[in-house]
Amino acid sequence: MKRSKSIFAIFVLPAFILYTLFMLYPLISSLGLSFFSWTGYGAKTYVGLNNFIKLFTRPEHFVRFIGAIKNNVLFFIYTILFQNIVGLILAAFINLNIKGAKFFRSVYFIPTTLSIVVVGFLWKLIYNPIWGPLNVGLRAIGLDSMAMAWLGNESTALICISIANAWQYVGIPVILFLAGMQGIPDELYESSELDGATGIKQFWKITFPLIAPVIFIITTIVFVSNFSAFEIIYAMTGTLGAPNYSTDILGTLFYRICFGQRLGTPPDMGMGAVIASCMFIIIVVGVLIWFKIYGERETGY
Amino acid sequence: MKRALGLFLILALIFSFVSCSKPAEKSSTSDVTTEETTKETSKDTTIAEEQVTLTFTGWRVEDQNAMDKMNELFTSKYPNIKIAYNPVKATEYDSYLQTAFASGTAEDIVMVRSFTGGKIAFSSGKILPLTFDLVPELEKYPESALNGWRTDDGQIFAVPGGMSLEGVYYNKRIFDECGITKVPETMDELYSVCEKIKEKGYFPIAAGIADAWYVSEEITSTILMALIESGDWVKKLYNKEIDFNDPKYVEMLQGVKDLARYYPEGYEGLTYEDCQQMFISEQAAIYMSGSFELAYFMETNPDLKLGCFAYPGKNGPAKAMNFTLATSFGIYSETKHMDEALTYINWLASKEGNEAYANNVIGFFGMNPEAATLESEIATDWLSLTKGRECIHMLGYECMADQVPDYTTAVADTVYQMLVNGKSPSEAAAFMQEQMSWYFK
Repeated sequence: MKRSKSIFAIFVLPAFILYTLFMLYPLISSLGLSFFSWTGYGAKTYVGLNNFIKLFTRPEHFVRFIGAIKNNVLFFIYTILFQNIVGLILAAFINLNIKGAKFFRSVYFIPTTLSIVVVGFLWKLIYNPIWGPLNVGLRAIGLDSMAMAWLGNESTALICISIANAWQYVGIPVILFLAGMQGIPDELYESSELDGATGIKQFWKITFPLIAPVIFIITTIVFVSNFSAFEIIYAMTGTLGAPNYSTDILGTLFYRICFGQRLGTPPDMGMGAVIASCMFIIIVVGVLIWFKIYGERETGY
Repeated sequence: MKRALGLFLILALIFSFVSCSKPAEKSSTSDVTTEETTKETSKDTTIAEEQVTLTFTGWRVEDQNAMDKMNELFTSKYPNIKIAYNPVKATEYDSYLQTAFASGTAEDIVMVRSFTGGKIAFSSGKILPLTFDLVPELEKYPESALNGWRTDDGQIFAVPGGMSLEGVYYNKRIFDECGITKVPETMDELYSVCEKIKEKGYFPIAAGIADAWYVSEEITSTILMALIESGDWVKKLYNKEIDFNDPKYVEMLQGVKDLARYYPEGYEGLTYEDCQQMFISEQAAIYMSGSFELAYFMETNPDLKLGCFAYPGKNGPAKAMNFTLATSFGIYSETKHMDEALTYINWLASKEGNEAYANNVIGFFGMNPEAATLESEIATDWLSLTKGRECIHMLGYECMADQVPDYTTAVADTVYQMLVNGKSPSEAAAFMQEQMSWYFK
């Protein structure tokens, strides 16, 4: 028995070595960087916990950090609402087996395969205040007052980016919801019909509770990807999280501090590593809590 | 059975490792041999002709063709030295240089950012300090040019390459169509010109505030230099004798606010590229930017009839204008071809090299005062704007960029607060002062 265990250890070894080399080592060494002051050139100086103290005590850093966390939470909420609701509706429609449903299942998935930069550029064009189709369309139907600088307005910019982000990945919830719906045994529907439940009631009483685990999985995926997001903001409103930091999330704050700005503040790798560590902690703690909540109310057929 | 299978898999694993390492060994030995052969051949050429190729990197990707043409001129004079210009995208250049310096693979000649960015790069010890002995031509350069690439203790680390003048582009065809015969010389004239253009259905000015650097470098700095009349104001600010609550700064913010009446609707969300496209596609008549855009404009829309003027002063032509120290040439201190690199740098610093640069990389002007001739008409127009005007480097880069928030970010935030959140110019100036308080401590 013991021998076979050691044999299994050997099987695990290659993966373990690769994982350590390419995941654990970079992760730990970048966390270690948070104890140093380094511009990226020349030597690093050990500064102990100074970077952490600076982040939490200097108002110019702390205000941005709190703002970034707040925006990140909003970004997550907007994305998750849009993805789950729209994903569920689309999946429910495809599940009705209307003609051409398979075609739409592929269509909804196409944006997922696009590069984030392409998606960002595309939506930036859509939101453009002058020639963007959104404003042109609004003006064409007489809603001139609603046409505005979508990405230039503090109250709309983050929502607009969340929509673009959710649009790109809506295909994944659709597929997952659909798989969940198709996995529900027909007997449940049949017996519910005998009891007199139809349509919407069937959906809420049978389909929805049984696909709730999918919502959990999607929320986890979106949580991890949103709290480590950067590209979509970079592509749409830039590293400053314009306008007035209303789209500034942890990823952009990290980039700005770690690599410096074009002709602006010099790079501060140590402080960047502090923010990266915070992102890591938020994601790990968030996922653990979420798993704990879910584990307590797991359901089966 | 299980054990046999396990053993088999382990053996297979070991074999795969062995077979993996073998070709690697082979290739490394072959590397050695090729290196030896190249060494031999290079020895041969040393005796014969000493043909050297210098590598050169910078962040001006768009100048590839122009730089190649300029380098051909150099090679025609020094046939044994060839230059290979391999630029890296501007936004990635600094991190590229960090890696290249750290791994010892940097190009022989490197472009160095002016002021703070350059000083940080120089602190790596991988950029050769230049003395007047090494590059005698440097002695002719004006102080204002050398300052961009000089440390606090006076070491120069790059030859000033090109400067860009910042002012106003206008579309001559649209101006004619609107019956505007004379470029505006006061701010009020500029506003009435904008009114006329607006009546004809064009966008008067292509401008937006979504990009912080654009607000800082091309809008606020350009208007400020037109108001302050001499560089003393900037010196006083840098010496902390005055601060951002100064009436001139408030006046500049007022100017930005007045001008914003003629910005396109939704300008809060317009980026620099959006504005560029509006001007190039002749939807907008006026565009505030720098001469550095010339080559791009002429290439993208050759039919565009370009004109330029300096931003007008309050009651008459401005006495100063905004400029940037843009490109520069430095030597990688661990280059294997130091002599050739110095030859090239000395040529670039000379009158001839300066002229070759300005005539190929149109829109950038060399800073060797002896260099004069320009082939491009519109570039000459830009240069003529400097007549009777003091050129003042755009605000903030000399010393207001080493802490958070840097000047660029702070001024962009300030303009946003004023134009979008309704702060008055004097309130906005106070907001600016509050953000930059770290500098005045």
